[in-house]
Amino acid sequence: MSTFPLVLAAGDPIEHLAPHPITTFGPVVFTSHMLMLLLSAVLMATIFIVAARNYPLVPTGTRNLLDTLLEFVRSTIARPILGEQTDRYIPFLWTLFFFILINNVLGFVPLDAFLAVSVGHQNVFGAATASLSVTAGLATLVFFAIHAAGVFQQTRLQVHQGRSVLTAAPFGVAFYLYRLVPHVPGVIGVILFPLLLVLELVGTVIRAFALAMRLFANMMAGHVVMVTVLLMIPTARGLASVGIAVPTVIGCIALSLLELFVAFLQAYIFVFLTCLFIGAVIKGEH
Amino acid sequence: MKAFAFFSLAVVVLIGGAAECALGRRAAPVEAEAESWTGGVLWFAALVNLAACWLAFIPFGVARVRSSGLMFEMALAAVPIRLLLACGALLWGIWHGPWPAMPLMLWMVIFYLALLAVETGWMIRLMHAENEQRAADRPTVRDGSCKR
Repeated sequence: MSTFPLVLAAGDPIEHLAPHPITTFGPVVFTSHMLMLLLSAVLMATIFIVAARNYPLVPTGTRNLLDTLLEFVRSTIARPILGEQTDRYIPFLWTLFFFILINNVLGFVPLDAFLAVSVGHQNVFGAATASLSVTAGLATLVFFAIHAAGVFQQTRLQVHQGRSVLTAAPFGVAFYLYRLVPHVPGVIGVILFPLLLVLELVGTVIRAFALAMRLFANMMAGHVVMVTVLLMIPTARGLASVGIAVPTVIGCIALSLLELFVAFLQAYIFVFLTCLFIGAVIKGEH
Repeated sequence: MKAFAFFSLAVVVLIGGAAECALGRRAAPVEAEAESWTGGVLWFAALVNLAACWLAFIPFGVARVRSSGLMFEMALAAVPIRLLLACGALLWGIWHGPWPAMPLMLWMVIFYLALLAVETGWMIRLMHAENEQRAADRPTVRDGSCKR
C-alpha cells in the first residue's frame, strides 16, 4: 500500500488532531500530545540553557534571534502594561510565550509523516496546542497566576504600610477579594456586593476559558483546513488529479505561511491578554 | 462581633431544627428517603456554613485588633472568603457523586442564603455605626473645634 495518503494525513482531519495513546504508566495514559509537550519543554530548555551559557558581548546568530524575541515580549507586550513590575512577571511571560510558540510551530513540522515513511508508525506526534486539554492546562496556570499576582500585590502594599508579613498575609487575601468587586457606596453597595462578587468570579473563570478556547480553536482550525485541502488530491483520478494537485499544493503553501503567522500571533495574543489580566489586578482599583 | 457569632449560630440551629422536625415527621413512612434529605447531610451543611462564616471573619478580627480603619473593608471581604469556602465544601460533596450530593447542595444553598442575610444586616449596622462615629469625630463649629 502506498504511504501517500498516510503522509498527507490520516483518514479524517479530526483523527489527525486527536490525542493517540502511545504507552501507559500505571493509570496514566501517555499520549502523543504529552510527547509533544515533553519534546517542546526539552527543546526549550536546551535552546535557552545553551544560549544563556554562551554569552558573547555582541550577540550573533541564534542568540540574536532569541534576544530580539525576548526583548519584544518584554518591551512591547509587558512593559506598557505592567510598568515597573515588568521584571517581576517577565520570567513567567517569557516561558508562556516560548512554550506556546514552540508547540504551535512544532505542530506544523511533519514529524508524524517522517515517522510514517521511515518506520511505518503513525500517530506518535501531533499538534499539542490543537488539543483543548493542553490549552485548558495553560489557561488554568494563567488563572492561578492572575489571582496569585493580585494577592501578592495587596500583601506587598500591606507590608509597605508597616505591617508584619504574618498580619499582611490575611489582609492581602482579604483586600484582593474585596477589590475584585467594583466599589458601590452606601447600603446598596453592601446589598449588591454578593451579586457583583458572583459576576466577577464568573468573569475571571470566563477569561481563562476564553484564553483556552481561542488558542485551541485557532490552532485546530488551521490544521483541519490544511488537512481537508490536502485530502482533495487522493480523491481525484487520472489527469484530473494533476489539475487538482497543483492548485491544492499552492494553496497549502499559502495556508502554511498563514498558519505560521497565526502560530506567532496566537502566542502573542495569549501572552498579551495574560499581561492585561495581571496588569488589571496589580494596578487598577478593579 | 460576639452578637454576630451568637446570631449566626442561632439562625443555623433554628433552620436546621425546624427542617429536621418538619421533614422527619412528614416523611416518617419512607425513612430511607427522609434520611437522605435530613440528618447527617443537613447538619453537615449547617456546620460547614457556620465554620466558613466564622473563618471568613478572621481578617475582620485582625483588623479590629490591629487597625480599626480597615474594619468595614474586611467585613465585606468576608463575603468572598465564605463563598469560596462553601463552594469548596460543596465541590468536595459533588466529587463523591452529583446525585447523592443533591440534598447537600440544597441545604448548602439554604444555609448560605440565611447566613448571607444575617451577614448583610450586620454589615449595614456596622456601616451605620462607622458613619455615626465619623460624624461625631468630625470637627464642628458649635463645639469650637473648627473655625467658621
